[in-house]
Amino acid sequence: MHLLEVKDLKIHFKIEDGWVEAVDGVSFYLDAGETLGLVGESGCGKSTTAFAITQLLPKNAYIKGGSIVFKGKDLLKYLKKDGTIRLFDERMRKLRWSEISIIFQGAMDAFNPVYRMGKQIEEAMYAHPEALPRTLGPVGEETARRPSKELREAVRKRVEDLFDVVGLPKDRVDNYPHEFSEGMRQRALIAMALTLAPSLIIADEPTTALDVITQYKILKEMADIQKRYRTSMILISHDVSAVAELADRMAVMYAGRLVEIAAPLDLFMNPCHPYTGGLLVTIPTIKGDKEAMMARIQSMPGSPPSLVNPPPGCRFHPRCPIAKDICSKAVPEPVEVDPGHIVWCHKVRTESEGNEW
Amino acid sequence: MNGNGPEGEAWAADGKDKAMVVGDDELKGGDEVEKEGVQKTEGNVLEVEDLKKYYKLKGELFSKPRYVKAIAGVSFNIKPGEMMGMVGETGCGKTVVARLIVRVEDPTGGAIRFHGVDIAKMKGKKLRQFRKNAQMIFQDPYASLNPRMTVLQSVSEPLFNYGMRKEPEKVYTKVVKALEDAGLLPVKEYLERFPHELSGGERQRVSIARAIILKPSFIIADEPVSMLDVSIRAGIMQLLLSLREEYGIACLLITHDFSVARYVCDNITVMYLGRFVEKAETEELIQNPIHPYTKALLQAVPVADPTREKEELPISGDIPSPIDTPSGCVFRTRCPYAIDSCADSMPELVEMRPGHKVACHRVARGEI
Ligand SMILES: Nc1ncnc2c1ncn2[C@@H]1O[C@H](COP(=O)(O)OP(=O)(O)OP(=O)(O)O)[C@@H](O)[C@H]1O
Ligand SMILES: Nc1ncnc2c1ncn2[C@@H]1O[C@H](COP(=O)(O)OP(=O)(O)OP(=O)(O)O)[C@@H](O)[C@H]1O
Ligand code: SF4
Ligand SMILES: [Mg+2]
Ligand SMILES: [Mg+2]
Repeated sequence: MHLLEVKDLKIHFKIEDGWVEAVDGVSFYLDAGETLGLVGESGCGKSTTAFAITQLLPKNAYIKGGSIVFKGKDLLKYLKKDGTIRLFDERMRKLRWSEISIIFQGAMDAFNPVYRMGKQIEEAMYAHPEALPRTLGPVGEETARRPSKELREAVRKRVEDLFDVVGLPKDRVDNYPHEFSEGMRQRALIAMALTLAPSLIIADEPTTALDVITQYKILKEMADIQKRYRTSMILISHDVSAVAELADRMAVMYAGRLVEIAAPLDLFMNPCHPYTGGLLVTIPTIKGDKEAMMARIQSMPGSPPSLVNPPPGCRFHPRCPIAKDICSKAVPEPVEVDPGHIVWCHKVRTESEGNEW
Repeated sequence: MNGNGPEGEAWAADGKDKAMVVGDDELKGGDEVEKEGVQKTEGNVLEVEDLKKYYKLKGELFSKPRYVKAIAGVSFNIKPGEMMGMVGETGCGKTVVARLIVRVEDPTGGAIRFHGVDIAKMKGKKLRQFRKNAQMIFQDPYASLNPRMTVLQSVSEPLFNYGMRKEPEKVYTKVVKALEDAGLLPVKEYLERFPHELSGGERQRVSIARAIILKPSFIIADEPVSMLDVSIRAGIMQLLLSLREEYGIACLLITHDFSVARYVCDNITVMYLGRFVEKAETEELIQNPIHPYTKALLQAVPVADPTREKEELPISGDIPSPIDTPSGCVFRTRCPYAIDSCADSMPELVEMRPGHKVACHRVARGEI
């Protein structure tokens, strides 16, 4: 059994004049201790997928189909009839932070501006007494409603330790969110996600606000934590190189759908989907000729399609250099080109069946 | 902020710099936004002199007050049309510099002059002009957009503030153009949406459109493309370059992404714990970094090559707390080359090669 299995997930947003088909048939799985990198252009549905798993979707989101099975339980079973989710489902609240935690994309949004940083992380711990023994040992077993001095000290120490882990000075624990820089808030958020040692961490652009040195350290730290606790992770980013360093498998998303899943090495050495190929060529570098780099960056023509009126068939076909008739007519079915390497593309499918494209 | 109607007056109030209004054919009209056009000055757009910013921290009652020394004395100039890049580790003070320049906060010490005028002394009409001509793209698009305004309202607000109240159609056209330039396509699908209905990268593009719509003479962009993928990013970088071509816009670009800086910036300044440690023309800095910190930064840039063995970083540990900054060279606690004497005094920026300045004792003495 996989830790998490997402099948044919469809999430559409209702807006004034229609629907945004933000996620439209996404399927993937994740095993314990594994890291899945989710990459793709801005607006392609990465965060929406994450919010669906944590059930934090906004009110105008409608789940149009599919399932999300976590540890054998279908998280979407408690859907309301109209397809929306019960936002304050008590069961989900318990899962959040202690079983599944999310590092949000906008770090400022995630903190309450009127409480001190450390306090907010402590509160998250007290709110989940069931998870305390796991992270604090025997002290954590006492009731958190009226914490003893000992428990309070243990919780405090855990917060300070986590600050250490993410490289924040301990003397800033009692600062307010606005007193932190963007990258510091981001790191505090990572600390918060780690507090209860959950089995799944979803990190939405965890390092975009960070400089390369901090990024390097945080990613390394996250890899360590993951090994230590066998935590699974979904790492969302538009930065393919950063994700590639940590992920066991990478899923490339385009306009609300997956186009390719593969181990980083396979993806880089043998990208099969034309979009993946294009994406990899455009990765900028600081080495080599500047003019050549500029030319490469601009080599992918066009922009991602509207998700309100998405193109029929393969959503990449208007930009695809090798598209044929069928591409605008039928949605491509997945093909496994190598074990674990899955591609959604008519050309790849045709060729895998021994026919010429 | 009030006061409307045409204002033809240009910068250079103290007469030191000669400012001129560059006519803009497309912009002929009767209101403040249009008539004034865009100015080009011969002197510096921005002069920052020994800027300092300390924050007092709330501590225990009666204990000695403690300060975060966010900016500990930095100086730089930006010429018209210049693209200056600023890089540095998280928490080193980049955003604070930006906030001080647009006068969201007041500095603890030092001076900031915009087209020769001290911004601390600006009042009334001058201040209003300044607010229009110096635009900032804020780092966090989640916090910087008004959650109760649609995209259309957010982007047109600056135009309304600057006198285009009576021409809704014109405003609409300009808003659509700005959003197109910022790469939020197809524009019409986004106009009526609220920030919470946008993805991170989409919000970032709305902030960019807001900043460019008034055709300012100076833009501070604080990590403007951090959430954008390469193809859109390239478009935005191209946009900044073309604004410079067309209108001579100058720009202070804060980024941790060297490839972005490499693409648009003329020069790059490296900051560490509230101070500048190295400054040079872009390619020179990237190809021949001298300061040990800059070298480490460049080495940490991820490469898109999973086959490559990741080498260990030459520096370890974290940036020290800006509350108790190290004596002498602020980098010495992490520097692989540090020796005892590095703790004695603060190194100054010294020109090591033409136009390439470095603040390191041992570099200055030719030891490394
Ligand atoms: N509440 C909402 N109402 C309407 N549309 C929405 C809403 N939230 C997101 N969208 C749209 O859904 C699409 C997917 O958004 P999502 O936030 O998942 O993108 P993303 O891949 O995370 O992008 P980014 O990298 O820019 O953060 C976008 O086109 C966005 O405009
Ligand atoms: N209002 C404030 N009160 C106290 N300290 C502050 C305040 N604003 C900023 N600081 C501190 O000043 C230092 C510099 O912050 P700044 O936001 O400029 O960093 P930055 O270089 O922009 O980092 P990042 O790359 O993470 O955005 C940090 O240590 C930060 O905690
Ligand atoms: S399915 Fe067709 S359009 Fe889509 S990527 Fe493959 S070849 Fe291109
Ligand atoms: Mg997102
Ligand atoms: Mg900042």
